[in-house]
Amino acid sequence: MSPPVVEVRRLEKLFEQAGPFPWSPRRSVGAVQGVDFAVAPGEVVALVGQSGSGKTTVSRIVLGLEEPTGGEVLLEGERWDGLPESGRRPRRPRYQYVPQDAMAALDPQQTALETVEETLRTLGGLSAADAAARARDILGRLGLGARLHALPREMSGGEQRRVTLARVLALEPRLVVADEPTSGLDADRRGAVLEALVGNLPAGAACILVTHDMSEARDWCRRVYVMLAGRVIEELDPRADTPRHPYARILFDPWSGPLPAHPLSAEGCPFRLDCPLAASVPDGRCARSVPALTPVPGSAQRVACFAEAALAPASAADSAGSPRHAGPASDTL
Amino acid sequence: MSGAGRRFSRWPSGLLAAAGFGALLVFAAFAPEFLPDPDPSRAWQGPGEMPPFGADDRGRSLWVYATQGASILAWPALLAGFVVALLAVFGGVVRATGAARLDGWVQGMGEVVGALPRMVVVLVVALIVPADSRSLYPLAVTWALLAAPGAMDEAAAVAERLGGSRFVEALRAHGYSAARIFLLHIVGYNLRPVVVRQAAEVSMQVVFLELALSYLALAGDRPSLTHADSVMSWAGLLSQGYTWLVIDMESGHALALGLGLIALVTGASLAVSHAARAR
Amino acid sequence: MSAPLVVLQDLTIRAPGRLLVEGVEVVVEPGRVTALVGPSGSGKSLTARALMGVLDVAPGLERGSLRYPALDPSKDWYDGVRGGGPRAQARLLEATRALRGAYLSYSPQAASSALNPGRTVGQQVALAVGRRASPPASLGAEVTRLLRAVGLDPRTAAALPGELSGGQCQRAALAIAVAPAPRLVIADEPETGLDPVLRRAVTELLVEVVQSHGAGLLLISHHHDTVSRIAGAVVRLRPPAGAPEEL
Repeated sequence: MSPPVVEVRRLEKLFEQAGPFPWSPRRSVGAVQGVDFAVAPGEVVALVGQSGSGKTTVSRIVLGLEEPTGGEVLLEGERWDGLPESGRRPRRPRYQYVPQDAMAALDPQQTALETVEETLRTLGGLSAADAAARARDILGRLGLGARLHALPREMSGGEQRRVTLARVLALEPRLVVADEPTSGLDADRRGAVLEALVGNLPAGAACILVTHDMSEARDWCRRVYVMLAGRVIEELDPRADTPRHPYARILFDPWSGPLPAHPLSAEGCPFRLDCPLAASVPDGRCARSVPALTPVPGSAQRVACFAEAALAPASAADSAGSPRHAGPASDTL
Repeated sequence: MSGAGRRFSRWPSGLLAAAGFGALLVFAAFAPEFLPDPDPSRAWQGPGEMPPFGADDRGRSLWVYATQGASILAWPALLAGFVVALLAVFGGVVRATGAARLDGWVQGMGEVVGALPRMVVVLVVALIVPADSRSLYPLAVTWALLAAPGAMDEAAAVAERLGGSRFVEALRAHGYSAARIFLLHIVGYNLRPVVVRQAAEVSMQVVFLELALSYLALAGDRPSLTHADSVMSWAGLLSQGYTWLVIDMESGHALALGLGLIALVTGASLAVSHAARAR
Repeated sequence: MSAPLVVLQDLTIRAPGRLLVEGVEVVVEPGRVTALVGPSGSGKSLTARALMGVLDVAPGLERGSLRYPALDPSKDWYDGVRGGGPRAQARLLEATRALRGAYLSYSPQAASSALNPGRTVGQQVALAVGRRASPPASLGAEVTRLLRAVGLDPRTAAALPGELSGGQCQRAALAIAVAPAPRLVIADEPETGLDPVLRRAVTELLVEVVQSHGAGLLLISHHHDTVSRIAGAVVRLRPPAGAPEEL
């Protein structure tokens, strides 16, 4: 059995607070406090959570754009965190990043074809002729055959994203981390971009989608990790399981219960001040300790909650499940 | 327009620029060290009688004016352009790295320097330079430093539009080396148009600065601030040619040469900006 | 039965070579929500801007009438603009300038580029609050309240737009749009870039504005759950025949 493409153990990232002055440099807010997960070859998983949940930080650490303050990251079985950049750069073509802002990754002075050609010549080691042919092929497969000689400013947002995708996929990576790949796009274009990404992944490649869009996670991923305040609070298969954690429930269907009105708690379970189940947990346990991910009997789902209702075996909880949308098309108009 | 088509259209401008600057440097290289002796019998002879450009009011060949003038301003103007280019690249790169404090410092310095009155500072520098080592170099460098903040701002704006540190990070994550990102993409592809245009403009401004200062010196019959008395500036051509406009002397060919040389420099500057323009 | 806040009829706008919108009708009543929906390229943002008197396409307006019955029942603001080209449209822009930010307000789609980069969020919200007919006694408290209502930490009042994330800018723009207590709020895809919980918070703020101030809301959104929950009327746009397929 081949090792997982990505393995993250006890990952921790603790930030110093930004200075008290409003002109202090902007920092990502999310701290990461003990995250474990693994992605096997061929799996597409989602990291889901609101802004500040730590999902972006985790993805950046996995890519080596930031260093964790604790824990380990292993890519294809080899240690990745702590490596100097000189050790990382040769392996980077195998672990690719699709950034949230597609335009930021493209050189405005290069056409789509030139962009992908450069990738193939420089990182793929191909000759100029081979690179040109391969670049045309991958751009064609992504529906950009007529836009080969277009500059980024002449393209729509969706097209720019697909150029970034083409450049990433051209390297046939083992891992693709996509940070909110459809943010800012109209609903009818989102499906096209995700189809282009997931549909063109090389065989055996792993993919991590960082998103806060539940329907995307549900439609494209086999596993979803829900994050809150730097921790994974639920792990589930979105097609088979319904969310158990009260916060995950709200994230999946914001209209299913009252809107959270309190800030996250610094002690104990971060969601306890808004949690409808907190009262049912004896001894005030929610305030004293942070729940660990506990398996739900009868499925591969895991929830970080002390309440019995959340951990009840599969059949009992399904009856209290949140309403499901009919499918991908229902969220669009 | 296809990618190849875009590139090919730069060649004419590039050649023009190279020809213009090349001519300037060739003139500068052939400048005689001293003015020739006057020969009143040949005063105001046209290009036909005294090739290639004719003679001045004292019968000296205008070729001397052209070459000596070039030698005064060619290298200082290019140096000024180079200084501005360097600083503009610096400004752009600092913005691209996202080093906020350094960027803030650079912007602050830029605001202070940018607020200084340029001509006053240049004249002060000119007066400080000892009389026996007058040259355009200190003035050209001063002018370049005063013009740099504007160029740095423009370059920083380009880096900002590029995506700044997010651009660098995305390409780093992709696997490109820092050298490729900064030298090729940021400086080579994106800063190039701004930097070249700014450098060309400043070079031209230095040329005009020299002409203006020398012209005023001639008009006031004083020693020039930009060159030793043993050589003539192109301003001399303008000064001589002025008499053609006013007194109807036969010095039209001097004026024509002066204006022609100015056109050469301007044309080369425009051509190089056009050749280096963004897509 | 109070007069509608805006009545837009038979809006038809032409760009070189094709029509951008054709025959569009939008009515917004006070205290009600009208949703404007449709696929990309169907002209939603264009319609919203046209409704405010902002026409920035050439040759531009071909047919249509624009009335604000609650303000002036008889005046058709498109008189003299139909077929008049860019100059007439510029005149309309000037004529309607006083309405924008007071009678009606607009929360744009690309919020971060629409905010003033040189002023802090707090200053911009305060400026908008100051446009009310009767500004509140304590400006600072009102600014704080508005920021909280859109889910922003009140400390972001001291931040410049460049220091905020896209989602935060989106919410700041919304706060600025509702701050002057306008009669009509036009929210162009206000949920862009927001996670589901914030989407709901923003939707609830918009509903609160409508219900408590009796304002009308024109909501452009492609989120089914939001529209189905709060819209009283839905205008469905389709790209006119011959529009290019844009992916």
